[in-house]
Amino acid sequence: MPEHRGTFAPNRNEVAAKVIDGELIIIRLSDGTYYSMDNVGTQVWELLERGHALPAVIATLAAWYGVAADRVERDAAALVDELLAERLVVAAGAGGGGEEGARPADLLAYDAPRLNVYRDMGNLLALDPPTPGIDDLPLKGDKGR
Amino acid sequence: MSDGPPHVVAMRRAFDEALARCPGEVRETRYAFAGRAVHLRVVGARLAERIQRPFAHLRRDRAAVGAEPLRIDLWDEHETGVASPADAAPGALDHEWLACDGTLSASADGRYVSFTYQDSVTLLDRQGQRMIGGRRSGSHLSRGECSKPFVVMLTVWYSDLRVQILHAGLLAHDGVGVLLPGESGTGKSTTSLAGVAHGLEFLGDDFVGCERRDDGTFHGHSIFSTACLARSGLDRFGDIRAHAVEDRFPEEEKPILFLAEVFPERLRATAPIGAIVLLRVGAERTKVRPATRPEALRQLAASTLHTVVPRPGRAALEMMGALVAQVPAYRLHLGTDLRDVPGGIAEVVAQARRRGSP
Amino acid sequence: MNARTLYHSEAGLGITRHFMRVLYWTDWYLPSIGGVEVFSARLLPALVRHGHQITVVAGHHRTGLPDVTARDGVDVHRFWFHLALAANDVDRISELLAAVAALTRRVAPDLIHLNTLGPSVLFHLESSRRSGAPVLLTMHSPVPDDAARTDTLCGRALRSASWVNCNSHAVRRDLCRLLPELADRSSVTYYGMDPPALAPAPRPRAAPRILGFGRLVTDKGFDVAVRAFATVVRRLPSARLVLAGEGAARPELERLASALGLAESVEFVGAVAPEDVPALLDRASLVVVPSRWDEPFGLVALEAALMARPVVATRVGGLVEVVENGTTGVVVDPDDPDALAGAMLVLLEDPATADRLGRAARARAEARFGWDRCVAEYAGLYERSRNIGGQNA
Repeated sequence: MPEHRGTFAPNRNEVAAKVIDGELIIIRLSDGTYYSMDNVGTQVWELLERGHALPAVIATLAAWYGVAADRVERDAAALVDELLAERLVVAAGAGGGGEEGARPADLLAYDAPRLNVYRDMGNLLALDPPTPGIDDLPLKGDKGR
Repeated sequence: MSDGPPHVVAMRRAFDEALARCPGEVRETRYAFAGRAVHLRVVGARLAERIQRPFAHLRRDRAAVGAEPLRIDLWDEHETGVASPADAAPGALDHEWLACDGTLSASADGRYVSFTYQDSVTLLDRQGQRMIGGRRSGSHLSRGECSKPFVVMLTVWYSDLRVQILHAGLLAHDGVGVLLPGESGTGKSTTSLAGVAHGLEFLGDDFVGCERRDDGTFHGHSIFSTACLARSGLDRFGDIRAHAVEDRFPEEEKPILFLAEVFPERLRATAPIGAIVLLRVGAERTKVRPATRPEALRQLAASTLHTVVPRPGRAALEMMGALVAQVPAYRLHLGTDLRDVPGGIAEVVAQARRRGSP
Repeated sequence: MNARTLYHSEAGLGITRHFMRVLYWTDWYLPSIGGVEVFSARLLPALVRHGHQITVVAGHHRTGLPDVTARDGVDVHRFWFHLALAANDVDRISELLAAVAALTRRVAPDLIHLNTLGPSVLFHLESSRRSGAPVLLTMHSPVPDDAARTDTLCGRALRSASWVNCNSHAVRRDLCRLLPELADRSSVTYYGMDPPALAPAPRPRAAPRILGFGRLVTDKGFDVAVRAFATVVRRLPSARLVLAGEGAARPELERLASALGLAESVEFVGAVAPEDVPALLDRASLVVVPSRWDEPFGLVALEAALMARPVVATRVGGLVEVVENGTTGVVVDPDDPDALAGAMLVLLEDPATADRLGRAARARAEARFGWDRCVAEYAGLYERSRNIGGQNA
């Protein structure tokens, strides 16, 4: 397992991500794999994005939710491992800071963050295109030009 | 030639018939579309006038030597008394799809594609390099046909030449093309018009061609010289407003500007693409910031995939990916003063040059 | 008459009918044409008449249609799901997610009825979690290979459904083999179709015509039918094979027919509109469905049965549930031209038996695959979902 002390940043070259209403959608652009997270998972992502090292993220979440730090540590470390394995984040070195932001007002009960993975989006899109595409009009044989 | 599906044979016959009936009404003009020779023949003087207008800046007076031109043959049904063939109805070719409130059809081998919309039918023979179309009347042409004639069939033709149609504006400053991707309503049209009004060159407002040359560089091609702007937006361009064509169109629709008539010396056929600009309007003052590749690709791909028919395929998506990889992207924050536009674009070009692009 | 009126008038009679708010997901809806679209367009107005309030969530197929339309008492909300996904436009996708979540909150469905395992399932999965409503998933097509995986949209949709109904026992068996946990929350609902207005004429005997219709693609096995027909025509020179439909395999099929010397006796008539199918069947002596892939159901065989035509079919998928060997038709192994030829000859040389099978096929189709029965089964599934509770993880 990699060292969980440093900072981890979203892998900007490969990934498009957006948070809306506490839900996070991630697309790995290289192969069109889709991911989603909500609640705690989204908060981990946002805190990492702001440059906080993982121990600081854990401490913040433990404080926000009022749960034991070692429980949060287990969950967060497992999540970061998964994010690394999927190349959604990269290790960004030590240190880092920035505002952690105020405790969000409408927190739900703590639940282990889960990364939802959807590897079949590309296949499904290929099966049923919406408007006719130029690829639906292949010109067979010599174009005569 | 009498071979081909019945629909195709019938369209050829109908045009020949129109030609025979009204020889005095034939207007022939030649063009270069993305550098390829095109020969337009229209039977019906009024129709010819209307169809030629958006392509005026691409006129070539002499026939090009070398490759066979694309022949576009249109006729005015009312003027000539020749109706579009009955079996040009949707379903006449092998496959069909609904698109843009019209019907796109194709033969099984892909050689013939056809688009039927309201009062027009256009057929493209991709192997024979010929487009044939009937229009109900030159006096009552639909708004789409006035600003972007046979755009769906042209999209197929350009695509066959590996010129991908992008939904973006294209301006040029000092010979360098600046691509403006984005949906309508992002301020793209206002920005383009402001740019041209203050000295930049214009290649397109919302549909432009993009070609990758053998040396790996990207070139933008002008397709139409028209621009459309909502009335409220147009009001900011006092002297240009008078040129807008809107008399026949319903209240909600946007007037059309034929820019080759307003700024004849500022229309350009081709430019190397040196920068991509994502617009952000409503800023305090004009500023230029770098934009990321994923941002640029998202804006370009999303609006292109939403709007261009037939929808661009894998080749176009790959080209867009390669384009954003090679050409730098910037966010141009614009204030309310339209006179800042050319300066903003010039700044983008300067920054792009410093990074080492054309 | 709206749902509330129905409720009150029946309440007056002492009948309690509970109407439900249903959010109905489908990739496409009318005017897009396809199997699920046509099925949905017939089913939903019928369920509205049962008193339910149905909101459809679908993708935009054709530009120019408004985002929200009402049709036959059903509100249809269209979203640009597929273009946003195809462009990997994460901003647009987030907006769509928020819009779907807002619609789900407004509708406050008692039941979510999912009719797709297509790309828009992403939006269902992400929005339905918060709603807590039970999810009924209808399988209209074969079970995907990655159904058992937890890292796919299909896999997650199947696992999280409260109930899954399939259009044949074959599909349900496949499903439960891959996901045994679905064994006690799945069932079968056959498609329904009523007899056409055209009363079937007696089958042509003197110049027998064998009909195959459907997409002309390799999976449908029409090449096997052409090879089998070569044997048939040697014994019965006046026989003809008619292939109706279009597809990528047509040129090969035409070449095959030619190579076998059958250019004169095999006829390709091209695509046939759905409303012209009864007349097409009327002119046939028997129908051949030689598929080599696992047909989930076999609508073609059902249409043939309703016109009292015996069917020679292959032993694949759910097709054997529509064609009963020896009772309503003959079933043979796939990819076996000799067996197919044998079956076709039996029916052509013994018209009395063929007539008997055709009549039995029609009777069975009316008894087992009627449209009203199909609607009643869905109404029952909706009713039952009240007791199922929320989704599974």
